[in-house]
Amino acid sequence: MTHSKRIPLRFGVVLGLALLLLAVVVLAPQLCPHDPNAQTFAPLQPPSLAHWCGTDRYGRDLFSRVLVGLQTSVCATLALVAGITAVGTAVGVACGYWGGVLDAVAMRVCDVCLAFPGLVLALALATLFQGGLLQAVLALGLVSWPKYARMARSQTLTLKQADFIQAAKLAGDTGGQLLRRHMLPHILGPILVTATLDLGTMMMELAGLSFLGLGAQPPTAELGSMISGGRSMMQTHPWVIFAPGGAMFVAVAICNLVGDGVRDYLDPRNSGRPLYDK
Amino acid sequence: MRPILQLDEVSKTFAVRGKPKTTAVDNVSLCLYPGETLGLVGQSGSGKSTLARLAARLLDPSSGSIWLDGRDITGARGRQLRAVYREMQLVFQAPSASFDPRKTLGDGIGESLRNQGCSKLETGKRVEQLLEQCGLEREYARRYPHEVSGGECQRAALARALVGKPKLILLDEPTSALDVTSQRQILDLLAQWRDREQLSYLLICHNLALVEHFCHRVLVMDQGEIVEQGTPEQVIFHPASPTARRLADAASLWK
Repeated sequence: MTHSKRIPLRFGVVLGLALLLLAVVVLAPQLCPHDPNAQTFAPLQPPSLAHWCGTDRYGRDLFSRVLVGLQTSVCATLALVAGITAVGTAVGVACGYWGGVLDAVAMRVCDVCLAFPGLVLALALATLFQGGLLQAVLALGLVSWPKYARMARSQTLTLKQADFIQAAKLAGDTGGQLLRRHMLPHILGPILVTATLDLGTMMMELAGLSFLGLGAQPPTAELGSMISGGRSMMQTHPWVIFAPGGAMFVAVAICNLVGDGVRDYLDPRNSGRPLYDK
Repeated sequence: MRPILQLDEVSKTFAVRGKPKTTAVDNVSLCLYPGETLGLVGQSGSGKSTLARLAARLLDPSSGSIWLDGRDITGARGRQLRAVYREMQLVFQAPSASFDPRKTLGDGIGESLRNQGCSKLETGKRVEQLLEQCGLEREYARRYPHEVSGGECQRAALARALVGKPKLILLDEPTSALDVTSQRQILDLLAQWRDREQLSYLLICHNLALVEHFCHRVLVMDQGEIVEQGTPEQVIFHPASPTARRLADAASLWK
């Protein structure tokens, strides 16, 4: 018998779309038909064969800017989610495994972070850091890691009492071996699901900070700041908003579908079949 | 003769915030000699499993001392504790829960050998050999815990306990989850190993018939204390304490 599960067709399609999105993100500079920052065209041209998404008020090609903006947004989101997952999991596992003062202090910090609405606290921090993409990522990271820490801690506390962990101690495993061989593989499943489900949310929140001027700064192409830049022209030149908005919608939808698929795939009750395939 | 395991006035108290302290093991002293099988009987919640986990140093005692083959292991930590586990093993009550569900039985059984520096090949051979000695086919090494029955898993758990050639095995109700046939097979296997390797067992169980058949001496526990001790015949047929009498009466109901 084997533990590997067959990937259902619909989840496979979603994974294919996610790979396509990643390919676009990686190859964005090569795919750009024009320099995304060059102000060389007539401003506010509607979509045409020459400019698939039109041009913005500074005469920049919107399609090129959307591609580069997508790269900025996706890379920043991936870095953010990877960072909070790694930090949150490490802190949570350490707190759950060793406990003591470290646990008490880290969990009180988590309580403080979780007591505030996340986005409001991130806004305050981003303002304190005086704006910028890196600062926005940092601000969101600082308010988002406690969720992962809490989850990893509770999983570790439960696992620590499990008979198979006690048996591994009796087999002479050191603390590090226990964590690496027996605890992390069990903890990482739910953490991975949460992280993939968070990708879409984090992309939206990051774009939200950029929309408010606290994220990527001009002339950096970023989807949130592009939507913000075009909001005064929404009624007269809607393509200025539709292009980055549409890209954001597609990217977030793919992230959410991947998250749902991963959750269902890893859920033992579904025998590897995502719920939306039933 | 020097005892292989000695507990001196060991107590364990659990403190839960907002609730009165619970004393699971209260001032227990016992000695277990090489080659001997000591039975530990008592009702559920009397502290037997806690005592086994204290002896195995999976729990820290609140007071008292634990000695293994003349060495005080009460405060053993890290490397010292890992050395203790080469001489003492514990077989858990629920066999399938005692194996990592993500690893094969072979991985679980061979883990201690790998930790001692044995090569993968050497470990694999020893694991397969032990599985055969415990009445399982070699291919069970590649199975996962959920792919075998309770009895087969308990045999694998025995193989895991025996793999490092310990001197002492603590058996925490090793047959309680098994059917009568499997119980008998496991006990026969334990008896064979005891005679062949001069192993010592601390056997925790409810079943007095099993204790009578298998143990040299019996301790009776109630509410964390040892209330009676003696040979199986004394405890079962001439019980002195109310707890032993209750257990003996309950067992006789089925005869």
